[in-house]
Amino acid sequence: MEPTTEQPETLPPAIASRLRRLDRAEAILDPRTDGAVLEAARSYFAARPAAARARRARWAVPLGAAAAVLLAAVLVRPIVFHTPSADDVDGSGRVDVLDVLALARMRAAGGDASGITDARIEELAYRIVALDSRRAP
Amino acid sequence: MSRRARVLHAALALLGAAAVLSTTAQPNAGTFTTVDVFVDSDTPVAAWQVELTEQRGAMQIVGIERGDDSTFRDPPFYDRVAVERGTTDRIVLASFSLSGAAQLPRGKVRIARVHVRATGAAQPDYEARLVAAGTVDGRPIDAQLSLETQPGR
Repeated sequence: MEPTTEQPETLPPAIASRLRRLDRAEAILDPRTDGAVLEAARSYFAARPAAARARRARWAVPLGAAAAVLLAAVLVRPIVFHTPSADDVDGSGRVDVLDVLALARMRAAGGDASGITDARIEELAYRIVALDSRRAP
Repeated sequence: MSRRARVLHAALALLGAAAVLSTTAQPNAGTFTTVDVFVDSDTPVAAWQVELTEQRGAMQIVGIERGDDSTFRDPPFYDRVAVERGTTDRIVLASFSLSGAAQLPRGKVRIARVHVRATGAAQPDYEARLVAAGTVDGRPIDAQLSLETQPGR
């Protein structure tokens, strides 16, 4: 039996692969080569137009700020600009008996032409006194 | 034990049983109280909304009536389901009138009467809050609210 020829075949493939990678010789880089590459890179980027480099930075900040403002406006809008309820007839920002009175006055003034029914007035009146607002009157 | 003593013991036992049965068979009727709600305003009141609360957390409302002004609805609007359910800790009342300012009440006016049944030993503690009050043209007014309770039977 020859251990030198049979032993690598018994190793798991992952370990064998790592061993092969370790066995590679590292490239010996001369510091002068590093310096030359660095100098070539500097001269290349220095040759690019300054406007092309600045354009991205100049637009990125205002564009990001505008996006942030837009997002904030969308999120805050329902809180700041409260959508008035259909029951807030007098536009006071709250629904109470004064809205019922406003409906009744509109009904009394316009009759059926007002489009307001007695049932609608009564429904709102019972809703404002409901202790459980989720429950229908 | 003599025969007379046995008869006396039997009579006492019967009396005790009768007393127990009478107390368990009859529900506690409790006492009835009327809570009158008053609004005081120099401006004629065309609409009002009031929240009445019992501070101990429970009251049994047995009836609600309109106040002194017959131009308002009788009874006022209230949560009928909550009242029918029995005990509640608060009730919201509201009413309005389409009468002209000349016909509407001004000054201190009784706007509603609430009949309450009290079952506990402690005195009920009522508190009222004016949710809204308005004039004929729907303008809000800052009226004063007060309560007066009168014990029933």
